[in-house]
Amino acid sequence: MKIDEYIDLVCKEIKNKRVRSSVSRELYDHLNELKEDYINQGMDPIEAEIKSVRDMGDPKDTGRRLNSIHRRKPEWRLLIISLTIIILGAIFSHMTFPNRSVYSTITNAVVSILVYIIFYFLDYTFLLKYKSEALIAVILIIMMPFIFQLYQRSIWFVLVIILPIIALFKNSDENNTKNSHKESKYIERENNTHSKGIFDEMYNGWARTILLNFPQDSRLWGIVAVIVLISVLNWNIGFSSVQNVYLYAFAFIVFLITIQFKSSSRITPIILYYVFILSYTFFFDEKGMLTPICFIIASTLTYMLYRKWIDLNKKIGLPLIWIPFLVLSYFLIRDYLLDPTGLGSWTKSAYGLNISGEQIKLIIQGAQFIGKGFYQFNFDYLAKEHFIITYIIGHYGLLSGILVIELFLLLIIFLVVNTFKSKHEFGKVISFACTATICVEIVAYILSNLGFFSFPPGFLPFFTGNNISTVLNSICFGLILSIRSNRNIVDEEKIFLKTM
Amino acid sequence: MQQEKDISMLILSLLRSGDLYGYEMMEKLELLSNQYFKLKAGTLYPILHSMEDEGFIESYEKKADNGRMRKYYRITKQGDKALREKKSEWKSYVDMITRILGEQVYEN
Repeated sequence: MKIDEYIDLVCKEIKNKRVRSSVSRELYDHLNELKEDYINQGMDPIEAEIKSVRDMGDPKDTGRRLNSIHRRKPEWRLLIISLTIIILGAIFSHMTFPNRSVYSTITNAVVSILVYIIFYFLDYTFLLKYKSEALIAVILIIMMPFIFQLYQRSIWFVLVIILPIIALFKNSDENNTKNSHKESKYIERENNTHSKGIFDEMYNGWARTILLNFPQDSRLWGIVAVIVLISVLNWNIGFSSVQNVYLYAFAFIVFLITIQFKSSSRITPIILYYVFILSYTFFFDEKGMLTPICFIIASTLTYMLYRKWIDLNKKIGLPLIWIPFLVLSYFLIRDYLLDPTGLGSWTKSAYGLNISGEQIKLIIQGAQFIGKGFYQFNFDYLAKEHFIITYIIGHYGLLSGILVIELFLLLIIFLVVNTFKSKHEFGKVISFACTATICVEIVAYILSNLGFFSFPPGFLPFFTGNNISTVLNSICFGLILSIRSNRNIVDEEKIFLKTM
Repeated sequence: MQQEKDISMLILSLLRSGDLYGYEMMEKLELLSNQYFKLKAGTLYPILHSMEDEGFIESYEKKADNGRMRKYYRITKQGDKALREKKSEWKSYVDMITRILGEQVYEN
């Protein structure tokens, strides 16, 4: 038997086609080295090839064993806890919000599960394969607060205006460097010192995607998905809403990670991070509100720095990354000290919340272990949305509140452990970004509900929230689960080579 | 099955002294065991891939001298911990067997 025949027989037993290439590369390398050794010992090449293949053992058995390792392996703990939260959230929201129709509650739960399942089965490496589409999506999302301040709710206007602008940057040089980088992304990142300007690269990618590949390619579906996603997100709430801060943070991180494949500049992510934070600080009056966003981005950048995604000395990189967070924390603490009983003027003025920081503290202090507390407060719809844990503690007692908090803390622990178990570089960073977004969202929500600080009026994933929050959390959960269950299937290295 | 566990332990031990690729591992194993562990490569790779799945080792690709990309393996912290535990289990097992055999020899 020849080397190629042996490898074909092994690969035939491996059901997942994506695994075959990495397995065959490894076996091919082994067989060739063995063959060369036999030739060096004096065997003729044909005999050496036959002997080296014989030394490998039964190809079918090897293939079957490799197949049993390289298949989708769901992370049951995470799957069960996240589905429990979605279902409990739906039941709970039905009980707590009597005004909300059953139809709306069920729709929300179904949308959550659907988006979750789609991203779970989609295989997270689509972010690499369709990084131009991903860039368009996240850039649109990041720009939403600015655009929607001028043209409320006109999502179609945005698409009509932005797509031609992108088209203006059409680069006629179609046979560009796409196939010239044959080296591994990791190796290239270590060695590469030359780079095109980041914006050249970006526009190049967009223009190529939209103007040339759009009509013929399956990428059409990428663009359709982006439009559908944005329309779904815009379902019942304007993008200028401060409630979407977590969406902006997540979109920005995906933007940074995706852009890393288009640029090898050492500090591009840090520069973009500063541009992002400064422009948002300019847009939002309440600077302290951006602290959680900044924390999500800074922690992900730190992780990227440690995983060598950002090629910068840690002694310079760490202060650069964390200075904006410290500055924003100063605003958060200052706002709190100026008015410890308030919730930040954004909640009062923008949403007309009928609850104050002082009332939250009274509810918590007057709570009983089980049953209604001593301080009764009439929560309106919005107050319930943003302070559901305070409501639970005041209405059902401390025990119920602790149980809900514990459920979410358990989720955080599982998510963090899961992130550090990730196997592939790209998967690790995406998993970290999703985990950071969900965890900060939960922690900020719990802290503000217990009367600490006044974080942006967020939502408790799947318990309360609008469509944006539901879809964002479902995407994050879906991606995390997809990364985990595909750990033995995806071949990131091959995708890096293809997409370079 | 038990033999595979033993081989996993030996692989972890080999990787403690440096990163290796599959073929190199087999050669070292044969050499150190005086040809006792003559593994078939078809057995080695499923073991390596399953150890990677369990988090004991991790792999990365690097360009070899012949210009081809080669897959190397390195031990993880989890693998290092597992190796230490295995070593101590192995030591207790050997001590116990030696003690029993020693007593029997004395009785006879």
